[in-house]
Amino acid sequence: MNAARALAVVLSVAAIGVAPRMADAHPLHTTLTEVTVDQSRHTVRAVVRVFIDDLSTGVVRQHRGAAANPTGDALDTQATAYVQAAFAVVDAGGKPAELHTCGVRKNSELLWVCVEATVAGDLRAVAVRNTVLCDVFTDQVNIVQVGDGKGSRSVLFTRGDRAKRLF
Amino acid sequence: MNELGTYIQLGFRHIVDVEAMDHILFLVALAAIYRLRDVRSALWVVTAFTIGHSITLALAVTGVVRLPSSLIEFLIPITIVVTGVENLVASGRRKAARGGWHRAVLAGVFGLVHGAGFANYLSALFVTHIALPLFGFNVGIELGQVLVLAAAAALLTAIDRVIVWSRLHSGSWPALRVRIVAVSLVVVAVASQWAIERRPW
Repeated sequence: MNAARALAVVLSVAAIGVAPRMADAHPLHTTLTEVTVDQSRHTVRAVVRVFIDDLSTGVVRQHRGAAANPTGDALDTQATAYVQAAFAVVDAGGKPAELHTCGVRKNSELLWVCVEATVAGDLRAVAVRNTVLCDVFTDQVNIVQVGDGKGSRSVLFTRGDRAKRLF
Repeated sequence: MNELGTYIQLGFRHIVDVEAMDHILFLVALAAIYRLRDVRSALWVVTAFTIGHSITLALAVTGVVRLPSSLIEFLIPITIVVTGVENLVASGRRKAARGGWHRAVLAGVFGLVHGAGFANYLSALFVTHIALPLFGFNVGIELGQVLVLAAAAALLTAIDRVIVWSRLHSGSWPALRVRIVAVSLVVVAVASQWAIERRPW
């Protein structure tokens, strides 16, 4: 029986050695993006809801640690730049459209970052790519919701995903 | 993909992700005292855990209660430690307490804590139209739990075989007791360290 006790002790010591690497709390690394397609203006607007602490980590990493944790106006500016780099609207020909900012809003622990693109051609053939924070968290899941007047559809993005059609 | 499918997938990924070791370890701790033939007792306990976390998930996401994240993240490893210690105490009894209500009640109460952990994130993200994401996420969590428990059952069976093969058991220490003690000590060791590192003070 001593062998069994010795086994349990050895396993426990090994577990204590492994535990610190897994000690972080396990949040949901998720963003939610609402996409609105305006046929009359030929625009695609995306509002990305992202947790501020997660986004700050992404911004710092984007600057390879050279930037301090941004706050206030600096956070708004850098968050928009980060989202513009990680989010893409792709037209029917496979060409990424230029994204313009349409504002940033803070809501409790979330930042709502709005970007908009003008897209030529058939808007129902538009695709989006959302890799926001996929470079930071291996378990990042980005939900993109799009409404077409009859109901809504969702598309999930994880690390390594390419652009996906909305309709 | 339709919206419901999206949220089912989100809940499922959240549980089976290797980053979700706290929830996985809790399920392993719950399963550690059971053999395949005890599946009925195990199902009662897992059902109680499911009911518990569904209640707090619904209450917190709909804004009925608001729970501080730092406290919840600290309490989650505490629930794992207590379950592991309870396993160790039960393993010393002549007939390990695999049946009975107390373990189901314990799992239900601890489920309340784990549900609050999921809820804080969902309630922040979905400010309107929460019912569908909540339902889908919960379904995904349940499907993920089934997968984790099936994997845990296979792992525990393999551990039993190793114990028997290497003759680590004896008359007073049957193979099941050796397995419960070994697995529970590992669980307690890991979760204690998490609790220390996540302490809110």
